[in-house]
Amino acid sequence: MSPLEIGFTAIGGLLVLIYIGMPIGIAMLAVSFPAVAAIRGDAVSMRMLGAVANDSLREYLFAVVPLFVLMGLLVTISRVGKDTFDVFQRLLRRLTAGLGVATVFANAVFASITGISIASATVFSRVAVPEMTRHGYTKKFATGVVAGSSVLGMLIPPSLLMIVYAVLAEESVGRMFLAGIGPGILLAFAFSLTIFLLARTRTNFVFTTTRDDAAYEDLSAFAIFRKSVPIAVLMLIVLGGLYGGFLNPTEAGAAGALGALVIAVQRRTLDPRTFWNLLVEAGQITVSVLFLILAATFFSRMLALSGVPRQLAEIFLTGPVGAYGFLLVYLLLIIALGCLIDSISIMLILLPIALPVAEAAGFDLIWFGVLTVVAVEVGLLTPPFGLSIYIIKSAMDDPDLRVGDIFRGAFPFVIAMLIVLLILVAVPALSTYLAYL
Amino acid sequence: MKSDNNDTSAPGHRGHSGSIVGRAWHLLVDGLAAVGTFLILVLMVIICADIVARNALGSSLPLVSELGALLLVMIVALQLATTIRADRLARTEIFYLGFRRSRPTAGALLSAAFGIVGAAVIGGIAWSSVRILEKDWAAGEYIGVSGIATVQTWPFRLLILIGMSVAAIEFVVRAAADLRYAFSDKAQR
Repeated sequence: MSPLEIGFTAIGGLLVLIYIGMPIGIAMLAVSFPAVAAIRGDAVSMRMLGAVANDSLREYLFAVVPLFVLMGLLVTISRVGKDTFDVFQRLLRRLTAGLGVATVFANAVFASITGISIASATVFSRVAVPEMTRHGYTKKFATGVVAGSSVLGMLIPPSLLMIVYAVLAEESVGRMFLAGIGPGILLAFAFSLTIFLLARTRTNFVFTTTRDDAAYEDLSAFAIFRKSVPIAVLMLIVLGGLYGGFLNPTEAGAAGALGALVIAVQRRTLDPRTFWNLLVEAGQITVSVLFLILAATFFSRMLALSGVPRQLAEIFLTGPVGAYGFLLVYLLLIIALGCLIDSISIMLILLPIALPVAEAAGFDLIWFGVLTVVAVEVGLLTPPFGLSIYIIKSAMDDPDLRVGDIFRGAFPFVIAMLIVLLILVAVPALSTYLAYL
Repeated sequence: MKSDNNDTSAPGHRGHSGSIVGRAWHLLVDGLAAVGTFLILVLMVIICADIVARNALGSSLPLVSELGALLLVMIVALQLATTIRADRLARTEIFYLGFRRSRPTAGALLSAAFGIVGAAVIGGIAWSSVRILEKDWAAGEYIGVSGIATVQTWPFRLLILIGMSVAAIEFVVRAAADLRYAFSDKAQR
């Protein structure tokens, strides 16, 4: 077999193994090892395996993963999310469907101190959904809003997906973070508009009653101020540190995690037992992410040896499909895979194949990364495996709430995301303007 | 990054917890994981110390970035076995979960096959790490700036090797438990 045939066979084998449920990292290593051995011989393959395991993760930058994950878990238990929601609820009270919009913006702000959607979905399903149902919103809509806006967590920096992309594309993490801000704000406004339109045109979808008699908790200006302080401090540390040039991404993660730890301790929401469990959880998330990165490194070296990406670039770019045809196929493929596989795995499987093609097409890789992340996030909301939906279901612990209802509630937000994705494709400056400033 | 999928393991799965060897093994895996978990805290503390030193005293602490990078590899290596045991490595469940539920015996055999493949590739990593350890040991490989602060790399390499070996054996242990389940009476019903 020619190297090219070996490469395509390996990709086919990988898809089969992943489908039948082999752990994705193991499957990547298991197809890549024999493929490299067939192209260059056993000895080379073995040496490459050892080098990948020992040195591909040996980057100071990767320390950002456990640190931001730990920070996300710490703010989840320290009630910072609830305070943020309270503040926005008070500010947006007079607006149509104000609570829905408040959830979106509280999520956007909360997103700027966590890098994982799991954190946002968990916190806001416990904080925002009960409050919205009390004020006469349907559960379907309330959970849908939480699911939809939880994706902001991965778009607005810091973001785990952006970090993973930056690593694979060899782009600067700080630049990818900056690139996410514009699209994140755009998405938050698109979600607010969706809520507003739904409340006006599909009243039954949003509200159970037309009159809202439930009392609002009144907050004094001082209470609002006091509730805003912790999140403002964390934002200042992470975003201020990053963009003020005081901290690199890894250091921002460490300082943010320490800040979140101080807030949690000071609010007495953290006992040693809970803290240890959070550390263990952070460790396991870290391992599953970094092990995938390790495996993807080997997989992409194997692909480079086989020449598959070069061949694909030729097929797409010289044929009738063209660069934008390739982009369309790529984005549709991500959205389709999003129904089956989790976000990070999709990126690690597809990017080693797609990045060389995107580069050959002359795409801006920052822009390409933003499109990738938004498309990947659609998968968090689509059946049958929308991760955010299941997190909300398990966080709510409400037997009357069916998974199908949450998916239906989140559907308008999927549409909004697809529209935003089209806008981002059409106007690259939305993603790249801040990044290259 | 699936949240809770401990339920993928079949009932009566943890057959190795009874014997003394089994319990000692369990302790070893948990112990390595605890070291890895603790290292996350160490990582946070040394990086914060570096920030303070740089912004307050005007000079970075030596070794922090090289050490941070090596610590990270160790965190992964040391926690890999416990992640395997908790079944937290990312996988698709579209086919696998339903298959294991409807065909318990065949499902356990499939899981055993995954375990054996996992043991082979992680074992391969461990095997090729031996050579890297030997090389670093023989050459006295170090990180840092000579004359200011240096640390030999071989102890880290050794821990990576141990972590990878334990992870490979954990895959074997799980595959054995799956096989035992597949050929037990419970599965025949």
